[in-house]
Amino acid sequence: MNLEAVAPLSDTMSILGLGMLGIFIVTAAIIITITLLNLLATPSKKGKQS
Amino acid sequence: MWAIGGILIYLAIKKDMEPSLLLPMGFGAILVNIPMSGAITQIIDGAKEIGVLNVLFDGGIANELFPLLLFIGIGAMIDFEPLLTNPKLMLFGAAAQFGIFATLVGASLLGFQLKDAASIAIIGAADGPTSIFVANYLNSNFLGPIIIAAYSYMALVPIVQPPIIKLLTTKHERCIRMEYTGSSVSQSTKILFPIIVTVIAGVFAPRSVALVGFLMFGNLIRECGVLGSLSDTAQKVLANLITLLLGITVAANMQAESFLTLRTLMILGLGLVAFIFDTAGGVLFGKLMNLFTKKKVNPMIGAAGISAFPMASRVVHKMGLAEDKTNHLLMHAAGANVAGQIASVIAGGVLLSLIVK
Repeated sequence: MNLEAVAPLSDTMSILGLGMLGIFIVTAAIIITITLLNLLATPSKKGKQS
Repeated sequence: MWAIGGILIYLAIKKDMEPSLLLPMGFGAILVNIPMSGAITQIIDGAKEIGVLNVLFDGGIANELFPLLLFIGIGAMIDFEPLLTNPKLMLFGAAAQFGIFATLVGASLLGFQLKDAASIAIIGAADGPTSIFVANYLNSNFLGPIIIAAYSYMALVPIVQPPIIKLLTTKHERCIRMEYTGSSVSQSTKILFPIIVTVIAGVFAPRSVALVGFLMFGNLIRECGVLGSLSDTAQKVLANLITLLLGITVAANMQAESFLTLRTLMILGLGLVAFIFDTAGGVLFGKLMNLFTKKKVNPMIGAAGISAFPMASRVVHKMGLAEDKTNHLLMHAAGANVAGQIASVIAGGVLLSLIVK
């Protein structure tokens, strides 16, 4: 994109859409990772009882 | 500019508005606007005399060194435990970045070049170092006003957010209670978290990796358990030293001829717009979540998804107590708030990835 020019509305709207989508994709990946980490780090109830 | 410098010093001392930054900036604004000031580079009798503030600017801001070093200190200060116990709070951090992209649209409509529109938009990251990093990366013409707006609105979060939150929520919604399990997070999770977030952010948004990486490096120092003195140094000495230099160095860009323009006022206005849309994005996302989930969330938590830490979480906590003295939202708000810290840095990287090709 030409950084020195004023971007048309269609361009900025697509940046808005793609930007929010991008943030949510990264966020989803982080949430999945945290959930997996918590699952792996928490000993199972069965293991605790034995 | 002397008056503006005086106002910044007054706000820092009397109103306690981000004093560690606004005071050096205020003094710097006076310093660089003294006629023939030796603090900045001048051409005198055809000879170029290098000013110390320009040396600091080239060595610390032009190459993004200061904001990145500051991120080590910030990372060492942040406890991600409230987020790790309830990872879905991360979604609020993402939603509350909406103001960045909404402001990009607004700034472009007002005639700002794309590089300046994006730099102004990043005020909505509610995160000073990210604003400096992105604005400088894009070589914006408005670095001074952008930084002043970013830090001023962060200090004004307790004034800016409550009316927006009240406007978008009902009393019933503000009274929603959220259960806090308080389950502990293992040390290994705390250690792996900063490493994995850095890798994920690096894979999806490579331009964010410097910002995320330094933030998470600071957090790794904090959580590893064997670098206590380094963690203390990063949190206190490093963060204070860089903040001190950052404030006065930014003033190198606050010379009257480039600062006292209508565009500066427009940037301050757009910064406010960014914070308003950030807050609205987070709160409305909370309301949207409530349409699909059994366990209702208090939508005010969404407002804490902006990065301004810890002001935004305190605002939400206080508003919750104002509606119901027994409704404590602090831990949930703190989780959303630290999520906002990560998301704002990622937003900066995503924005750069989208416009710099």
